[in-house]
Amino acid sequence: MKKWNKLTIFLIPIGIAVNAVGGQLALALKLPVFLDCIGTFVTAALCGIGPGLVVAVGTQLINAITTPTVLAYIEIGMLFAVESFFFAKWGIFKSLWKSALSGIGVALVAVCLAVPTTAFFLGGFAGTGATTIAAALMASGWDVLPATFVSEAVSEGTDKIVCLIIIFFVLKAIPDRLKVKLPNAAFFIKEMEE
Amino acid sequence: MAYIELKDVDYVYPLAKEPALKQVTASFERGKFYGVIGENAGGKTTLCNLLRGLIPHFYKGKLKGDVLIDGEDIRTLNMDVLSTQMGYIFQNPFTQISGVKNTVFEEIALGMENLGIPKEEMIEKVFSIAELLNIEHLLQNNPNALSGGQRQKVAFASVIAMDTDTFVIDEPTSQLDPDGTAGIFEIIHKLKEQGKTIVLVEHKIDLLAEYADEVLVLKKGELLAKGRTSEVLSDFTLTGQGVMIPHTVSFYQEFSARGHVFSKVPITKSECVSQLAGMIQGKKGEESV
Amino acid sequence: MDNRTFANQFLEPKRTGNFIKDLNPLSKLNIFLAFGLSALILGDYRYGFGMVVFLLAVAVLAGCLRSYLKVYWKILLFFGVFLFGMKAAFSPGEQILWQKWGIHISVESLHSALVLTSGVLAFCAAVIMFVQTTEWSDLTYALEQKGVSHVTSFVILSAFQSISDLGVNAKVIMESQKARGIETEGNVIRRIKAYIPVMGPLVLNAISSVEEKSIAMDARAFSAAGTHTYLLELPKVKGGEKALVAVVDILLVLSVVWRVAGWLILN
Repeated sequence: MKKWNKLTIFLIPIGIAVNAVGGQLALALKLPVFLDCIGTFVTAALCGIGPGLVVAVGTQLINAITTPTVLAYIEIGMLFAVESFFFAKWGIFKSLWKSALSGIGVALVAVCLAVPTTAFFLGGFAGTGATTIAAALMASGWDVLPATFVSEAVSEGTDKIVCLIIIFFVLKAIPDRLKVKLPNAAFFIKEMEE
Repeated sequence: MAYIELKDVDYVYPLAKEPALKQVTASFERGKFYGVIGENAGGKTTLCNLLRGLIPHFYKGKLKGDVLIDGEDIRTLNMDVLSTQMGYIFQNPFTQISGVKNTVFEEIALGMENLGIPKEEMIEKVFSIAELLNIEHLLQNNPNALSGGQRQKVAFASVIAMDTDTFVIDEPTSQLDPDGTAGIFEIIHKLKEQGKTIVLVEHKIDLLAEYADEVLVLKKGELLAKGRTSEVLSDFTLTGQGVMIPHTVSFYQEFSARGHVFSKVPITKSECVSQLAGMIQGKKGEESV
Repeated sequence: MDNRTFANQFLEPKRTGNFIKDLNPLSKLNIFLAFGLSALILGDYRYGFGMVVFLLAVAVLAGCLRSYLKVYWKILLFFGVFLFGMKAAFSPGEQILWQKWGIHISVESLHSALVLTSGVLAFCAAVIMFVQTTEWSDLTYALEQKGVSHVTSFVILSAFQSISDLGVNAKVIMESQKARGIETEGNVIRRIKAYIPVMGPLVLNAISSVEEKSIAMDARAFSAAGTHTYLLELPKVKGGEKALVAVVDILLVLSVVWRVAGWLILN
């Protein structure tokens, strides 16, 4: 961790906190989406894959304090960090509709990873709103795997589209004078000289 | 050789168009107390960042001219080493609390822990600093639950506790009441008496007038004046340039406009009082004749 | 407590007088993780539920039953009831006990529900027990003693503080948005619209504060080279504690062996 840019080190706890508080606020407002990975995306986009991974893992470890089962999904958050870095590199975060569309891709990959865990490990019980959909589908004769897949695809898809739209605006609003000091400045600022 | 030497320094922040410092030449001696004044956005904080090595190491940007600390070019100085020699305190008290300690006591000790100071010594130092700043009653409190003014004192204490040779202090009293401000100035004065070098950005001109050895005036990135406090603050050509004058000087102006003559412009309260006393004595003398 | 008494505490290794709480944080982490994992690995619901009860007793001994249950009851409800119900209702099985509306409860589904639920409950209990009996600053201190960088400690401790700071700020911003007439209740669109003006400034302010935070910590010799000293001191790990950790770890290994052997015999 020592080789990292100094600001990066101080951004990591903020990234974790943004994940946590973003999720709490979505719960408090009873939103049908989780919005609990904004910090991971923002950190990875600005500072790189490593710091993004630390934020993702840190967030899940902290969530595990009250809900240890989230540890079963830890790899998904880690994947967000990798995705976000490349989105930043490819300039996807420069456009609103590209960001929103990429949300669908992010959700699909996440669901493919999450479903086997939910279906086999937890018997279709994800412990979220998606569980009700899954239960209803299974009750109407669906198998556990497709039922889990459909229910999670619906909730994840909505969540990630909204998430990436918010992330687009956050990244856009961060002042250049701050971005310029972070490792991935060149992804966001054209007139980088040094 | 001067302790810190600036020669024709120009500095532009990254992505900025206007330079934040223009052709600044100044030198700083060890053991002196320097006040920095001037309009907002005049370059005061930039000067602090430069002395502290944050420019160019942290802020990057374009730095021209020479900045020498103990004869060494700031560009090649190690920031981490510099951080153990130069204490830095700035305006915002909220970002200066570490957020990783549960009590003010431990918060003040944090910098000393990083310097590797033995435990017993740390504890005694925390006590003496707390007494100095009058925050003994806060020692067992959570630093993350303090008011702005309390945090400012704790942040100040935390840096002072590290006992560096030099302190760069940027508006340490923004959140404090007059009593708190006077307290901070007394401590800065004590530090100076211990032989520390102090660079202080401060709006409260009356207090600077009391304590500072020299004053620097910055405007739009240029160094308008630098010299002995009494000279700079009695230079009336500067008053139009965003330099506030001490109460004693406006008092002096008012008096001389009415035809009373002081032997020199009083900068501190005690100077003012002694001159007035002299005048009153003189008048009494005349009357008795 | 007067300041002197308070400060003198730092001169002695920190002890609470409770055997469980005074274990080294890393020993505790090891022991509780081994407890939780062994329940998941063994897949025996008697062991799993036994562990849940055992950990309840540990909570009583550690004097933190109340705070433990405050977190754990949600897990009990969520996983003990819902996970169990879902698994029992939808897992495949031959010996059907009851079925209606697409729900099939069978001997097999009940068994698999018991196995899964007991494992998850025991694992969660162990993790929560660790958290309830350990202070984070003690854990990071123990990690630093093992050679982990103080940067890691900072990140961990600062994450917790930032969560609580941002949580407080979120409430403040939400209240002020309400005062300005922004609705935080009503239909979904309206609630999402309330989310953005709270989260936006919150995230941006937090990110912008990083710059000053870094400067401030630098001024506290955060990145200075050389060995650190600590106000905090934890008791030295004694032989008995080491033995305890070793025994628990051996039990964990045995549970793995047991499970693998059982699987090999079946196949």
